[in-house]
Amino acid sequence: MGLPTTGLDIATFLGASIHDMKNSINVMQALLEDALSGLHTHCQCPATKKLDQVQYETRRVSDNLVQLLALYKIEREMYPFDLQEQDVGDFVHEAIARVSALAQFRGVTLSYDYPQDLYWYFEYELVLGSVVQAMHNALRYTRDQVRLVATVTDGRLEFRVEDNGSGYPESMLCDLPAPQRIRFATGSTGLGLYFSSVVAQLHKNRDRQGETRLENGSSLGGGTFILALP
Amino acid sequence: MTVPQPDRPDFVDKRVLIVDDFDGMRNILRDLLRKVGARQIDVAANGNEALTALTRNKYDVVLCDYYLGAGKSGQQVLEEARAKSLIGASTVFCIISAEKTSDMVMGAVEHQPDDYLIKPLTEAMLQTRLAKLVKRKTIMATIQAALRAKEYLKAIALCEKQLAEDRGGSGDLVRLRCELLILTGNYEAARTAYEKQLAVRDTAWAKAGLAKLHFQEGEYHHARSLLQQLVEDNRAYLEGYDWLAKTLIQLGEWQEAETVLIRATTLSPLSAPRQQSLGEAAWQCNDLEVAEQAFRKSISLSAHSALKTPQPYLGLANVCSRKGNSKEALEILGRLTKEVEGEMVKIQAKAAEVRVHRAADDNTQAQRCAEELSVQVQKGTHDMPPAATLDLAEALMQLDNKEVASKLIQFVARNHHEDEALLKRARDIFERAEMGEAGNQALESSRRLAIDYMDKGVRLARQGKLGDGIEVMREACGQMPNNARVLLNHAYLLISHMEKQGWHHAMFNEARRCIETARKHTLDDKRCGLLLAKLETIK
Repeated sequence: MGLPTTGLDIATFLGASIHDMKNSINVMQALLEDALSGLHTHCQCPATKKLDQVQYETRRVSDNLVQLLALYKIEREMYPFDLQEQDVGDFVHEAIARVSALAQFRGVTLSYDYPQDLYWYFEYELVLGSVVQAMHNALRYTRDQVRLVATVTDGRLEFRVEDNGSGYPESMLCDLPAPQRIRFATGSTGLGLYFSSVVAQLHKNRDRQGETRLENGSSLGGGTFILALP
Repeated sequence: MTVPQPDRPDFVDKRVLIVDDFDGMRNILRDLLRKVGARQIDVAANGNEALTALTRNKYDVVLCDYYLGAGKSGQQVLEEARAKSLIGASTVFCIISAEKTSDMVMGAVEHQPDDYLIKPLTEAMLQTRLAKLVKRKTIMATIQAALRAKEYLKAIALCEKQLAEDRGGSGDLVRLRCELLILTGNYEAARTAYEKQLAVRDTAWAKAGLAKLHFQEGEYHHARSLLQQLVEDNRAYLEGYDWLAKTLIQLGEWQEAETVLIRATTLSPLSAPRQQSLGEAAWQCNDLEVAEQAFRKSISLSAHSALKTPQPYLGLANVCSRKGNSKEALEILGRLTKEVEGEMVKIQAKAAEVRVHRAADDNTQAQRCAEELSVQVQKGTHDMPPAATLDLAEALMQLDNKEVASKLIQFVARNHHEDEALLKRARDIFERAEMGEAGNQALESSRRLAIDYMDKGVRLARQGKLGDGIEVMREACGQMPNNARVLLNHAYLLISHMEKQGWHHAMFNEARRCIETARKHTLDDKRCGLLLAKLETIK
């Protein structure tokens, strides 16, 4: 009888490599953010526009890696799902801070709202991953505003990411299983939405389960991403 | 509605230590800390540099990466710093990691950092989470000071006071309070608190808590079914696996315990104590390959740790010996005496050496080691587990050193006079040595010794001669230093004495020592806890 821990396979290397890539991207991101903060905001020269694009793409790679790593671990039943009572206000501030450099650079105004003194049980890292990637997505498609709202609706905590872009295409609003949305031409793999729906489903409280929804017609007039947690 | 920004934390007067092996990351962290106002920032590139810095300066905040390359890990830096009291109750120690792992969520509470921060670290994270931890630490400092002074009831009261003020997010305090209630034998209150938590939310730690209570009360079947359900629902909850394995071992189901521990070490291969448990379970199942690998891993994982134990070395030596490789077994025992400090370790290594020589039929060498040992082991100060002492006795019997062997067996019988399984093994050893009759007499007189002492002590106490009773029990503790019942009865008399005559420094310490020693040797944890609580109320 051998120890499974020594059985190296492609999946193990996959996990380890994702981890390693994530570390490298983290350093690149921090350096890039630092370098960009020295540049004048709204500077219209072509170099800064390109850097903006680099920053956005780095974020996307980073988001994807975080999600792939988490999904890989969830699938192997190795993810340390850690449900704890969290301060919703702190969470919102952290999510906003994660995207503020990019928003500022793109000239998008960020706003947020949450009820004071609200605590809720959720897995901090997974939910942060889901909300931050929804905000990155919103930053890409919005005109000039993105808003993060936390509310308690029908006994569930809802995180809503709203924008004032042109909204989600009709095809995304219906209930398609994630893989069918993969469109390589536009770079939309559906990974983000799939990740969010897995995160939502992991959140259970007795007979209730979390869910994700996309809607059009937010308070800002564009699309809304909703993550509801029981 | 507009929401105010959280209070800007004041890091200006805080001294911070950054530990990271990657120089790029150290600079990024330093810049972040400067942005939130920190002025006194030191850096260390590895575990040893960190410990040196912690020895020289007092830090308010330590940010330490989990992976520090070769050498100590962040976790080991924390453990060593705590073991050597380099960090006080008011130091916030955070471990930084690129991802969340099972070890982080599980880890024994006493070895956990104040928080795990997952990369990328941001200014906002430092402003909200770290600032909150610093603030929380001032509250926790009083509780931890009480814990360090072993004033558990006081710590419980402090937890309750804080819980009454908190508006939420105090799961850690609820949990700590429950653990302290168990430590002081107040199982009813702990159960109520766990159930209250479960009524609010289906929480893994509260379920594990209920299972632990079943375990402590000896209700192993209840504990098992609860824990099986727990790990089924929470596949990565390591504490659940650890307790399930402990429970299965109590039920004698070693094979299942091994399976559970294999699953747990697959999830979290980097815990030395868990690898040691797996080695032990596999050894019991005669699964030598698994045992060998697990013991080897346990040894290498604790190579840089301040919390090294001799067990994996002894286990590995046993495995090598049984596989017929006595040369390697002896090498490992040699390493043990070099790599783990302490007189007791040398004695245990020597005792194992006797068994290795015996197994290799090298009786001359075995005799030589046995003679070196005999003085120390007869004194009973060797600190060996009773089963290992009996192993040694059996080897000595085979070497025809019956005198020392008998003394060892009697020592075990005196100290575990109620443990039927051990006594049966002792009888078997005597019988195999063709000493059945004499052996039975020796065992009976050892057993009687404990009972007679206790009868005498209790009788004197009842007659109001508490002082004389204490004298008798003190003598009994000298002869039976590991006998939990004797120790607890002695503690009880000491406490009764102080209740009548007032607090007495030496008696207080003696009673606490008795309870703490007994706790290591008995499954009746509740009585130990209750006595500890009673002791604390004497002032």
